[in-house]
Amino acid sequence: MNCLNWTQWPRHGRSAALATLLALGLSAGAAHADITSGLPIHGFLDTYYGYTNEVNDPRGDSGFHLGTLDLYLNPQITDRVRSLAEFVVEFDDWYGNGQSAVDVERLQIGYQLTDGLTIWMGRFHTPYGWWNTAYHHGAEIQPSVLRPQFIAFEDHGGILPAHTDGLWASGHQDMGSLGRVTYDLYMGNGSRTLVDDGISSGPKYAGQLDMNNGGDDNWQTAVGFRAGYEFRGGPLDSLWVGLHGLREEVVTYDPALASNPISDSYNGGIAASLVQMLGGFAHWTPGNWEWMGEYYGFNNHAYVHPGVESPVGHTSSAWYAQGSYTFRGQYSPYARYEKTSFSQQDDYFYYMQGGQSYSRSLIGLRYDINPQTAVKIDGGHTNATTNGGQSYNEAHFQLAVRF
Amino acid sequence: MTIKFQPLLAVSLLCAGLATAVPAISLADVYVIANSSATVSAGDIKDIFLGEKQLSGSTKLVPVDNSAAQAEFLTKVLQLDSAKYDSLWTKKSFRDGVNPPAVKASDADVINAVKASPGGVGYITSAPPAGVTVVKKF
Repeated sequence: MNCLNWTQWPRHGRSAALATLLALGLSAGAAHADITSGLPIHGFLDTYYGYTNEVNDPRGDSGFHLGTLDLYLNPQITDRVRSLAEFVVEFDDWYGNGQSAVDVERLQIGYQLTDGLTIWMGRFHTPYGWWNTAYHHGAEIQPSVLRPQFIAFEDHGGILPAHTDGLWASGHQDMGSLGRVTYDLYMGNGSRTLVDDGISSGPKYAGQLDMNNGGDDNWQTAVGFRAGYEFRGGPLDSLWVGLHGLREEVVTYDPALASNPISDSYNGGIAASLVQMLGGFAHWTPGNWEWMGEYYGFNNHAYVHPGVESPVGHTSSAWYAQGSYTFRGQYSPYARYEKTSFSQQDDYFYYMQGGQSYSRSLIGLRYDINPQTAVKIDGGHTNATTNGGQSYNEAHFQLAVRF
Repeated sequence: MTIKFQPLLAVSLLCAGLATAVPAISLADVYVIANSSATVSAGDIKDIFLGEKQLSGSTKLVPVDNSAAQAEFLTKVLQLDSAKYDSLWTKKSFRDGVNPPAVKASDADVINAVKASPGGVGYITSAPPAGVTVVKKF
Protein backbone atom coordinates (compact mmCIF):
# COMPACT_ATOMS: atom_id res chain seq x y z
CA MET A 1 0.00 0.00 0.00
CA ASN A 2 2.88 2.33 -0.63
CA CYS A 3 3.76 2.32 3.02
CA LEU A 4 6.08 4.95 4.31
CA ASN A 5 9.01 3.15 5.89
CA TRP A 6 9.17 4.33 9.48
CA THR A 7 12.93 4.08 9.72
CA GLN A 8 13.37 6.15 6.61
CA TRP A 9 11.60 9.09 8.16
CA PRO A 10 13.83 11.83 9.44
CA ARG A 11 13.96 11.87 13.22
CA HIS A 12 11.98 15.08 13.53
CA GLY A 13 9.45 13.71 11.05
CA ARG A 14 8.92 10.62 13.16
CA SER A 15 8.50 12.76 16.25
CA ALA A 16 5.97 14.95 14.52
CA ALA A 17 4.02 11.94 13.30
CA LEU A 18 4.02 10.37 16.75
CA ALA A 19 2.92 13.64 18.30
CA THR A 20 0.10 13.87 15.80
CA LEU A 21 -1.03 10.31 16.45
CA LEU A 22 -0.79 10.85 20.20
CA ALA A 23 -2.88 13.98 19.93
CA LEU A 24 -5.42 12.10 17.86
CA GLY A 25 -5.44 9.28 20.38
CA LEU A 26 -5.96 11.64 23.31
CA SER A 27 -9.00 12.99 21.58
CA ALA A 28 -10.41 9.55 20.99
CA GLY A 29 -12.79 9.67 23.92
CA ALA A 30 -14.79 12.38 22.22
CA ALA A 31 -16.58 10.01 19.85
CA HIS A 32 -19.97 11.52 20.60
CA ALA A 33 -18.80 14.97 21.60
CA ASP A 34 -20.63 18.04 20.50
CA ILE A 35 -19.37 18.91 17.03
CA THR A 36 -18.87 22.48 18.14
CA SER A 37 -16.45 21.50 20.89
CA GLY A 38 -13.91 19.40 19.02
CA LEU A 39 -13.20 16.90 16.32
CA PRO A 40 -14.46 13.36 16.97
CA ILE A 41 -11.82 10.68 16.54
CA HIS A 42 -12.56 7.00 16.17
CA GLY A 43 -10.33 4.01 15.87
CA PHE A 44 -9.58 0.30 15.91
CA LEU A 45 -6.75 -1.67 17.43
CA ASP A 46 -5.93 -5.35 17.10
CA THR A 47 -3.22 -7.89 17.80
CA TYR A 48 -3.14 -11.57 16.96
CA TYR A 49 -1.21 -14.82 17.09
CA GLY A 50 -0.82 -16.93 13.99
CA TYR A 51 0.37 -20.44 13.27
CA THR A 52 0.93 -22.16 9.94
CA ASN A 53 2.67 -25.32 8.84
CA GLU A 54 3.35 -23.86 5.39
CA VAL A 55 6.92 -24.73 4.43
CA ASN A 56 9.25 -21.78 5.02
CA ASP A 57 6.27 -19.66 6.08
CA PRO A 58 6.76 -17.19 3.18
CA ARG A 59 4.19 -14.75 4.53
CA GLY A 60 5.66 -14.79 8.01
CA ASP A 61 2.34 -15.89 9.45
CA SER A 62 3.58 -17.77 12.53
CA GLY A 63 4.04 -15.98 15.81
CA PHE A 64 2.62 -12.94 17.51
CA HIS A 65 1.63 -10.02 15.34
CA LEU A 66 0.88 -6.42 16.01
CA GLY A 67 -2.19 -5.88 13.90
CA THR A 68 -3.05 -2.31 13.14
CA LEU A 69 -3.77 0.91 14.97
CA ASP A 70 -6.40 2.61 12.85
CA LEU A 71 -7.43 6.21 13.56
CA TYR A 72 -10.02 8.00 11.49
CA LEU A 73 -11.83 11.30 11.73
CA ASN A 74 -14.68 12.90 9.85
CA PRO A 75 -14.33 16.67 9.83
CA GLN A 76 -17.62 18.28 8.82
CA ILE A 77 -16.46 21.38 6.99
CA THR A 78 -19.82 22.91 6.07
CA ASP A 79 -23.39 21.66 5.86
CA ARG A 80 -22.60 20.04 2.52
CA VAL A 81 -18.85 19.48 2.61
CA ARG A 82 -17.38 16.76 4.75
CA SER A 83 -14.10 14.90 4.78
CA LEU A 84 -12.68 11.63 5.96
CA ALA A 85 -9.07 10.99 6.94
CA GLU A 86 -7.81 7.62 8.09
CA PHE A 87 -4.30 6.74 9.28
CA VAL A 88 -3.00 3.27 10.01
CA VAL A 89 0.11 2.24 11.90
CA GLU A 90 1.03 -1.32 11.02
CA PHE A 91 3.94 -3.69 10.71
CA ASP A 92 5.14 -4.92 7.33
CA ASP A 93 5.20 -8.57 8.25
CA TRP A 94 3.84 -9.90 4.96
CA TYR A 95 6.84 -10.34 2.66
CA GLY A 96 8.37 -7.44 4.52
CA ASN A 97 11.00 -6.88 7.15
CA GLY A 98 8.85 -6.31 10.20
CA GLN A 99 9.33 -2.57 10.34
CA SER A 100 6.53 -0.30 11.40
CA ALA A 101 4.94 1.91 8.83
CA VAL A 102 2.34 4.65 8.68
CA ASP A 103 -0.22 4.55 5.90
CA VAL A 104 -2.58 7.27 4.86
CA GLU A 105 -5.44 4.87 4.25
CA ARG A 106 -8.09 7.36 3.19
CA LEU A 107 -7.97 11.04 2.50
CA GLN A 108 -11.17 12.17 0.86
CA ILE A 109 -13.29 15.28 0.64
CA GLY A 110 -16.93 15.02 -0.30
CA TYR A 111 -19.78 17.27 -1.33
CA GLN A 112 -23.27 16.07 -0.48
CA LEU A 113 -25.64 17.07 -3.26
CA THR A 114 -28.65 15.30 -1.76
CA ASP A 115 -29.35 12.58 0.78
CA GLY A 116 -28.94 10.21 -2.12
CA LEU A 117 -25.74 11.46 -3.72
CA THR A 118 -22.32 12.46 -2.41
CA ILE A 119 -19.34 13.16 -4.64
CA TRP A 120 -15.95 12.31 -3.12
CA MET A 121 -12.46 13.14 -4.34
CA GLY A 122 -9.23 11.73 -2.94
CA ARG A 123 -8.12 8.30 -1.85
CA PHE A 124 -10.99 6.03 -0.81
CA HIS A 125 -11.80 2.39 -0.21
CA THR A 126 -12.60 0.99 -3.64
CA PRO A 127 -16.34 0.22 -3.62
CA TYR A 128 -16.58 -3.40 -4.77
CA GLY A 129 -18.37 -6.22 -3.04
CA TRP A 130 -19.30 -6.05 0.61
CA TRP A 131 -16.14 -6.62 2.61
CA ASN A 132 -13.82 -3.92 1.32
CA THR A 133 -15.97 -0.95 2.27
CA ALA A 134 -17.78 -2.55 5.21
CA TYR A 135 -14.79 -3.63 7.32
CA HIS A 136 -11.45 -2.77 5.73
CA HIS A 137 -9.02 -2.08 8.63
CA GLY A 138 -11.80 -2.23 11.21
CA ALA A 139 -10.72 -5.51 12.79
CA GLU A 140 -13.25 -5.25 15.62
CA ILE A 141 -16.22 -4.96 13.30
CA GLN A 142 -14.85 -7.60 10.93
CA PRO A 143 -16.50 -10.94 11.69
CA SER A 144 -13.35 -13.07 11.19
CA VAL A 145 -9.66 -12.63 11.98
CA LEU A 146 -8.52 -12.05 8.40
CA ARG A 147 -10.09 -11.01 5.11
CA PRO A 148 -10.63 -13.52 2.34
CA GLN A 149 -7.17 -13.94 0.81
CA PHE A 150 -7.93 -12.76 -2.70
CA ILE A 151 -9.42 -9.47 -1.51
CA ALA A 152 -6.58 -8.87 0.94
CA PHE A 153 -4.87 -5.50 0.92
CA GLU A 154 -2.56 -4.82 -2.00
CA ASP A 155 0.58 -5.52 0.06
CA HIS A 156 -0.90 -8.71 1.50
CA GLY A 157 -1.47 -10.45 -1.81
CA GLY A 158 -4.80 -8.96 -2.86
CA ILE A 159 -5.64 -9.15 -6.55
CA LEU A 160 -7.72 -5.97 -6.72
CA PRO A 161 -6.95 -2.40 -5.67
CA ALA A 162 -8.42 -2.04 -2.18
CA HIS A 163 -7.93 1.70 -2.52
CA THR A 164 -8.42 4.12 -5.37
CA ASP A 165 -7.17 7.65 -5.82
CA GLY A 166 -9.77 9.50 -7.86
CA LEU A 167 -13.44 10.48 -7.93
CA TRP A 168 -16.34 8.56 -6.39
CA ALA A 169 -20.07 9.19 -6.60
CA SER A 170 -21.97 7.29 -3.93
CA GLY A 171 -25.60 7.25 -2.90
CA HIS A 172 -28.97 5.58 -2.81
CA GLN A 173 -32.51 6.13 -4.00
CA ASP A 174 -35.36 5.17 -1.69
CA MET A 175 -38.04 2.97 -3.23
CA GLY A 176 -40.79 3.61 -0.73
CA SER A 177 -41.16 1.12 2.07
CA LEU A 178 -39.80 -1.73 -0.03
CA GLY A 179 -36.15 -0.81 0.09
CA ARG A 180 -33.68 1.27 -1.81
CA VAL A 181 -31.37 1.20 -4.80
CA THR A 182 -27.73 1.83 -3.97
CA TYR A 183 -25.09 2.97 -6.40
CA ASP A 184 -21.38 3.74 -6.56
CA LEU A 185 -19.53 4.97 -9.62
CA TYR A 186 -15.84 5.72 -9.51
CA MET A 187 -12.81 6.54 -11.61
CA GLY A 188 -9.19 6.88 -10.62
CA ASN A 189 -5.58 6.13 -11.33
CA GLY A 190 -5.14 2.70 -12.88
CA SER A 191 -2.91 0.27 -11.00
CA ARG A 192 0.49 -1.19 -11.91
CA THR A 193 2.58 -4.10 -10.69
CA LEU A 194 6.32 -4.33 -10.09
CA VAL A 195 8.39 -7.43 -10.73
CA ASP A 196 11.16 -8.02 -8.26
CA ASP A 197 14.65 -7.56 -9.59
CA GLY A 198 16.18 -7.91 -6.15
CA ILE A 199 17.63 -4.43 -6.36
CA SER A 200 15.36 -1.66 -7.49
CA SER A 201 12.05 -2.71 -6.08
CA GLY A 202 13.17 -5.23 -3.50
CA PRO A 203 11.36 -8.36 -2.43
CA LYS A 204 8.94 -6.39 -0.31
CA TYR A 205 7.17 -5.01 -3.33
CA ALA A 206 7.51 -7.98 -5.65
CA GLY A 207 4.30 -8.57 -7.51
CA GLN A 208 2.27 -6.16 -5.42
CA LEU A 209 -0.51 -4.19 -6.93
CA ASP A 210 0.35 -0.50 -6.67
CA MET A 211 -2.65 1.82 -7.01
CA ASN A 212 -0.54 4.76 -8.18
CA ASN A 213 -1.41 7.29 -5.51
CA GLY A 214 1.27 9.64 -6.77
CA GLY A 215 -0.07 9.81 -10.30
CA ASP A 216 -1.04 7.39 -13.03
CA ASP A 217 1.88 5.67 -14.73
CA ASN A 218 0.16 5.11 -18.07
CA TRP A 219 -2.60 7.74 -18.18
CA GLN A 220 -5.16 4.98 -18.32
CA THR A 221 -7.98 5.65 -15.90
CA ALA A 222 -9.60 2.88 -13.93
CA VAL A 223 -13.39 2.96 -13.93
CA GLY A 224 -15.75 0.89 -11.84
CA PHE A 225 -19.22 0.60 -10.41
CA ARG A 226 -21.25 -1.10 -7.72
CA ALA A 227 -25.02 -1.17 -7.94
CA GLY A 228 -27.36 -2.97 -5.60
CA TYR A 229 -30.75 -3.23 -3.99
CA GLU A 230 -31.25 -3.21 -0.23
CA PHE A 231 -34.49 -4.71 1.02
CA ARG A 232 -36.28 -3.04 3.92
CA GLY A 233 -39.04 -4.93 5.66
CA GLY A 234 -40.64 -8.19 4.68
CA PRO A 235 -39.00 -11.60 4.63
CA LEU A 236 -35.90 -10.29 2.87
CA ASP A 237 -35.34 -7.38 5.25
CA SER A 238 -31.65 -6.30 5.34
CA LEU A 239 -30.68 -8.27 2.23
CA TRP A 240 -28.33 -6.25 0.05
CA VAL A 241 -27.56 -7.77 -3.31
CA GLY A 242 -25.89 -6.29 -6.35
CA LEU A 243 -23.35 -6.23 -9.14
CA HIS A 244 -19.89 -4.72 -9.36
CA GLY A 245 -17.36 -4.15 -12.11
CA LEU A 246 -13.92 -2.69 -12.75
CA ARG A 247 -11.97 -1.92 -15.91
CA GLU A 248 -8.38 -0.74 -16.02
CA GLU A 249 -5.07 -1.14 -17.86
CA VAL A 250 -2.35 -2.53 -15.64
CA VAL A 251 1.30 -2.38 -16.68
CA THR A 252 3.89 -4.69 -15.13
CA TYR A 253 7.35 -3.22 -14.68
CA ASP A 254 10.71 -4.92 -14.28
CA PRO A 255 13.36 -2.30 -13.59
CA ALA A 256 16.10 -4.85 -14.33
CA LEU A 257 15.21 -5.11 -18.00
CA ALA A 258 16.53 -2.40 -20.28
CA SER A 259 14.40 -3.19 -23.29
CA ASN A 260 11.17 -4.94 -23.99
CA PRO A 261 8.60 -5.04 -26.76
CA ILE A 262 6.25 -2.42 -25.41
CA SER A 263 8.65 -0.12 -23.64
CA ASP A 264 7.94 2.84 -25.89
CA SER A 265 4.32 2.98 -25.01
CA TYR A 266 4.41 1.74 -21.49
CA ASN A 267 7.44 3.49 -20.08
CA GLY A 268 9.49 0.42 -19.34
CA GLY A 269 6.73 -2.09 -18.80
CA ILE A 270 7.31 -5.73 -19.67
CA ALA A 271 3.63 -6.56 -19.93
CA ALA A 272 0.33 -4.76 -20.02
CA SER A 273 -3.14 -6.11 -19.46
CA LEU A 274 -6.63 -4.83 -19.93
CA VAL A 275 -8.31 -5.99 -16.72
CA GLN A 276 -12.08 -6.41 -16.93
CA MET A 277 -13.87 -7.62 -13.81
CA LEU A 278 -17.59 -8.20 -13.45
CA GLY A 279 -19.21 -9.91 -10.52
CA GLY A 280 -21.81 -9.82 -7.81
CA PHE A 281 -22.22 -9.73 -4.06
CA ALA A 282 -24.77 -10.24 -1.31
CA HIS A 283 -25.02 -9.56 2.41
CA TRP A 284 -27.92 -10.53 4.65
CA THR A 285 -28.58 -10.48 8.39
CA PRO A 286 -31.85 -12.32 9.03
CA GLY A 287 -32.30 -12.55 12.79
CA ASN A 288 -29.12 -13.80 14.41
CA TRP A 289 -27.66 -15.02 11.14
CA GLU A 290 -25.18 -13.17 8.96
CA TRP A 291 -24.55 -14.30 5.41
CA MET A 292 -22.23 -12.79 2.84
CA GLY A 293 -20.64 -13.71 -0.43
CA GLU A 294 -18.81 -12.12 -3.33
CA TYR A 295 -18.00 -13.29 -6.84
CA TYR A 296 -15.43 -11.82 -9.23
CA GLY A 297 -15.18 -12.90 -12.86
CA PHE A 298 -12.31 -11.72 -15.05
CA ASN A 299 -11.93 -11.51 -18.80
CA ASN A 300 -8.49 -9.98 -19.23
CA HIS A 301 -6.67 -9.24 -22.48
CA ALA A 302 -2.95 -8.73 -22.97
CA TYR A 303 -1.63 -5.94 -25.16
CA VAL A 304 0.41 -7.49 -27.96
CA HIS A 305 1.52 -4.10 -29.25
CA PRO A 306 1.10 -0.63 -27.86
CA GLY A 307 -2.59 0.10 -27.86
CA VAL A 308 -3.50 -3.20 -29.50
CA GLU A 309 -5.30 -5.76 -27.40
CA SER A 310 -4.97 -9.44 -27.99
CA PRO A 311 -8.26 -10.83 -29.25
CA VAL A 312 -7.78 -13.78 -26.93
CA GLY A 313 -9.08 -13.20 -23.45
CA HIS A 314 -8.06 -15.04 -20.31
CA THR A 315 -10.88 -15.86 -17.95
CA SER A 316 -10.42 -16.23 -14.22
CA SER A 317 -12.68 -16.21 -11.21
CA ALA A 318 -12.68 -15.84 -7.45
CA TRP A 319 -15.41 -16.12 -4.84
CA TYR A 320 -16.11 -16.66 -1.17
CA ALA A 321 -19.15 -17.36 0.95
CA GLN A 322 -19.37 -16.91 4.72
CA GLY A 323 -22.03 -17.55 7.31
CA SER A 324 -22.26 -17.02 11.05
CA TYR A 325 -24.85 -17.28 13.81
CA THR A 326 -24.81 -15.29 17.05
CA PHE A 327 -25.80 -17.01 20.30
CA ARG A 328 -26.77 -15.06 23.40
CA GLY A 329 -25.59 -11.89 21.72
CA GLN A 330 -21.92 -12.72 22.24
CA TYR A 331 -20.90 -16.02 20.65
CA SER A 332 -20.66 -16.09 16.86
CA PRO A 333 -19.28 -19.24 15.25
CA TYR A 334 -18.53 -18.74 11.58
CA ALA A 335 -17.45 -20.67 8.51
CA ARG A 336 -16.07 -19.50 5.18
CA TYR A 337 -15.06 -21.06 1.92
CA GLU A 338 -12.85 -19.29 -0.64
CA LYS A 339 -11.95 -20.47 -4.12
CA THR A 340 -10.01 -18.86 -6.92
CA SER A 341 -9.11 -19.99 -10.39
CA PHE A 342 -6.56 -17.63 -11.92
CA SER A 343 -5.22 -18.21 -15.43
CA GLN A 344 -1.44 -18.32 -15.46
CA GLN A 345 -1.57 -17.39 -19.15
CA ASP A 346 -2.82 -14.02 -17.97
CA ASP A 347 0.08 -11.64 -17.32
CA TYR A 348 -2.00 -9.83 -14.73
CA PHE A 349 -2.15 -12.86 -12.45
CA TYR A 350 1.13 -14.43 -13.58
CA TYR A 351 3.21 -11.56 -12.28
CA MET A 352 1.10 -10.88 -9.21
CA GLN A 353 2.11 -11.94 -5.73
CA GLY A 354 -1.33 -13.31 -4.93
CA GLY A 355 -2.09 -14.52 -8.43
CA GLN A 356 -1.96 -18.24 -7.67
CA SER A 357 -5.15 -20.26 -7.55
CA TYR A 358 -6.18 -21.73 -4.22
CA SER A 359 -9.11 -22.97 -2.19
CA ARG A 360 -9.55 -22.45 1.54
CA SER A 361 -11.93 -23.75 4.17
CA LEU A 362 -12.14 -21.87 7.43
CA ILE A 363 -14.06 -22.18 10.67
CA GLY A 364 -13.88 -19.91 13.69
CA LEU A 365 -15.53 -18.42 16.74
CA ARG A 366 -15.99 -14.79 17.65
CA TYR A 367 -16.72 -13.84 21.26
CA ASP A 368 -17.75 -10.29 22.07
CA ILE A 369 -16.47 -9.61 25.57
CA ASN A 370 -18.30 -6.31 25.48
CA PRO A 371 -19.61 -4.11 22.65
CA GLN A 372 -16.13 -2.68 22.06
CA THR A 373 -13.96 -5.78 22.46
CA ALA A 374 -13.92 -9.01 20.48
CA VAL A 375 -11.85 -12.19 20.68
CA LYS A 376 -11.66 -14.36 17.59
CA ILE A 377 -10.11 -17.74 16.97
CA ASP A 378 -10.13 -19.62 13.71
CA GLY A 379 -8.45 -22.42 11.82
CA GLY A 380 -8.33 -23.22 8.14
CA HIS A 381 -6.93 -25.41 5.45
CA THR A 382 -5.58 -23.99 2.20
CA ASN A 383 -4.85 -25.91 -0.96
CA ALA A 384 -2.73 -23.94 -3.42
CA THR A 385 -1.19 -26.87 -5.27
CA THR A 386 -2.69 -26.10 -8.68
CA ASN A 387 0.31 -24.10 -9.82
CA GLY A 388 2.99 -25.70 -7.71
CA GLY A 389 2.04 -24.06 -4.44
CA GLN A 390 1.50 -25.71 -1.09
CA SER A 391 -1.23 -27.29 0.90
CA TYR A 392 -1.15 -26.13 4.50
CA ASN A 393 -3.08 -25.49 7.69
CA GLU A 394 -3.19 -22.30 9.72
CA ALA A 395 -4.76 -20.92 12.88
CA HIS A 396 -5.21 -17.45 14.34
CA PHE A 397 -6.17 -15.92 17.66
CA GLN A 398 -7.05 -12.24 17.65
CA LEU A 399 -7.94 -9.57 20.19
CA ALA A 400 -9.61 -6.50 18.68
CA VAL A 401 -11.08 -3.32 20.16
CA ARG A 402 -12.75 -0.19 18.86
CA PHE A 403 -12.97 3.20 20.48
CA MET B 1 -53.74 -7.82 69.43
CA THR B 2 -50.09 -8.17 68.76
CA ILE B 3 -48.68 -9.10 65.42
CA LYS B 4 -45.54 -11.20 65.47
CA PHE B 5 -42.93 -10.55 62.89
CA GLN B 6 -42.73 -13.49 60.56
CA PRO B 7 -39.74 -13.35 58.23
CA LEU B 8 -41.20 -15.75 55.67
CA LEU B 9 -44.39 -13.76 55.45
CA ALA B 10 -42.46 -10.51 55.17
CA VAL B 11 -40.34 -11.82 52.32
CA SER B 12 -43.41 -13.15 50.56
CA LEU B 13 -45.21 -9.83 50.88
CA LEU B 14 -42.11 -8.00 49.66
CA CYS B 15 -41.83 -10.24 46.62
CA ALA B 16 -45.50 -9.86 45.89
CA GLY B 17 -45.20 -6.12 46.18
CA LEU B 18 -42.27 -6.01 43.81
CA ALA B 19 -44.02 -8.26 41.37
CA THR B 20 -47.07 -6.07 41.27
CA ALA B 21 -44.92 -2.96 41.08
CA VAL B 22 -43.03 -4.05 37.99
CA PRO B 23 -45.92 -3.59 35.55
CA ALA B 24 -46.45 -0.14 37.00
CA ILE B 25 -42.95 0.89 35.93
CA SER B 26 -43.35 2.21 32.42
CA LEU B 27 -41.12 4.20 30.15
CA ALA B 28 -41.69 7.90 30.16
CA ASP B 29 -43.31 9.61 27.21
CA VAL B 30 -40.80 10.64 24.60
CA TYR B 31 -41.34 13.75 22.51
CA VAL B 32 -39.34 14.06 19.33
CA ILE B 33 -38.94 17.75 18.64
CA ALA B 34 -37.48 19.77 15.80
CA ASN B 35 -36.55 23.33 15.10
CA SER B 36 -39.61 25.19 13.86
CA SER B 37 -37.92 25.92 10.54
CA ALA B 38 -37.14 22.26 9.79
CA THR B 39 -39.53 20.01 7.91
CA VAL B 40 -39.40 16.62 9.57
CA SER B 41 -41.99 13.85 9.48
CA ALA B 42 -42.43 11.00 11.93
CA GLY B 43 -41.32 8.60 9.23
CA ASP B 44 -37.96 10.36 9.02
CA ILE B 45 -37.03 9.98 12.69
CA LYS B 46 -35.27 6.63 12.46
CA ASP B 47 -33.32 7.60 9.35
CA ILE B 48 -32.27 10.91 10.91
CA PHE B 49 -30.92 9.32 14.08
CA LEU B 50 -29.13 6.57 12.15
CA GLY B 51 -27.47 8.99 9.73
CA GLU B 52 -29.40 7.91 6.65
CA LYS B 53 -31.22 11.23 6.27
CA GLN B 54 -29.10 14.33 6.67
CA LEU B 55 -30.95 16.96 4.68
CA SER B 56 -34.41 18.45 4.74
CA GLY B 57 -34.63 20.39 1.54
CA SER B 58 -31.65 22.69 1.73
CA THR B 59 -31.41 22.47 5.52
CA LYS B 60 -28.75 20.32 7.14
CA LEU B 61 -30.38 18.21 9.84
CA VAL B 62 -28.56 18.19 13.18
CA PRO B 63 -29.81 15.39 15.44
CA VAL B 64 -28.84 15.54 19.09
CA ASP B 65 -28.95 12.69 21.59
CA ASN B 66 -30.18 13.14 25.15
CA SER B 67 -28.29 11.01 27.65
CA ALA B 68 -31.05 11.46 30.22
CA ALA B 69 -33.70 10.04 27.88
CA GLN B 70 -31.71 7.87 25.51
CA ALA B 71 -32.83 4.56 26.98
CA GLU B 72 -36.50 5.44 26.48
CA PHE B 73 -35.85 6.82 23.01
CA LEU B 74 -33.91 3.81 21.80
CA THR B 75 -36.45 1.38 23.20
CA LYS B 76 -39.66 3.13 22.16
CA VAL B 77 -38.63 4.85 18.95
CA LEU B 78 -35.73 3.02 17.34
CA GLN B 79 -36.33 -0.40 18.93
CA LEU B 80 -32.61 -0.77 19.63
CA ASP B 81 -30.46 -1.19 22.70
CA SER B 82 -27.57 1.17 23.33
CA ALA B 83 -24.92 -1.36 22.30
CA LYS B 84 -26.57 -1.92 18.95
CA TYR B 85 -27.04 1.82 18.48
CA ASP B 86 -23.35 2.47 19.15
CA SER B 87 -22.35 -0.38 16.85
CA LEU B 88 -24.49 0.96 14.01
CA TRP B 89 -22.94 4.39 14.41
CA THR B 90 -19.41 3.00 14.51
CA LYS B 91 -20.01 1.32 11.17
CA LYS B 92 -21.83 4.30 9.67
CA SER B 93 -19.09 6.67 10.74
CA PHE B 94 -16.31 4.42 9.46
CA ARG B 95 -17.96 3.65 6.13
CA ASP B 96 -19.61 6.91 5.19
CA GLY B 97 -17.72 9.59 7.11
CA VAL B 98 -20.80 10.71 9.03
CA ASN B 99 -20.47 11.71 12.68
CA PRO B 100 -22.92 10.42 15.30
CA PRO B 101 -25.28 12.90 16.99
CA ALA B 102 -23.81 15.09 19.68
CA VAL B 103 -24.91 14.05 23.15
CA LYS B 104 -26.64 16.52 25.46
CA ALA B 105 -27.10 15.91 29.16
CA SER B 106 -30.69 16.98 29.76
CA ASP B 107 -33.99 18.00 28.23
CA ALA B 108 -33.06 21.65 28.70
CA ASP B 109 -29.79 21.21 26.84
CA VAL B 110 -31.55 19.42 23.99
CA ILE B 111 -34.21 22.11 23.74
CA ASN B 112 -31.53 24.80 23.57
CA ALA B 113 -29.63 22.89 20.89
CA VAL B 114 -32.73 22.29 18.80
CA LYS B 115 -33.72 25.95 19.00
CA ALA B 116 -30.21 27.07 18.14
CA SER B 117 -29.88 25.11 14.89
CA PRO B 118 -32.28 25.43 11.93
CA GLY B 119 -31.97 21.69 11.36
CA GLY B 120 -32.02 20.72 15.02
CA VAL B 121 -33.85 17.50 15.94
CA GLY B 122 -33.91 16.00 19.42
CA TYR B 123 -36.01 14.16 21.96
CA ILE B 124 -37.13 14.98 25.49
CA THR B 125 -39.31 13.46 28.18
CA SER B 126 -40.72 16.68 29.60
CA ALA B 127 -43.54 18.65 28.00
CA PRO B 128 -42.22 20.44 24.92
CA PRO B 129 -41.93 24.20 25.27
CA ALA B 130 -43.13 26.77 22.79
CA GLY B 131 -40.81 27.52 19.92
CA VAL B 132 -40.17 23.95 18.80
CA THR B 133 -42.18 21.59 16.61
CA VAL B 134 -43.34 18.31 18.09
CA VAL B 135 -42.69 15.72 15.40
CA LYS B 136 -44.31 12.89 17.32
CA LYS B 137 -45.06 11.77 20.87
CA PHE B 138 -44.14 8.15 21.67
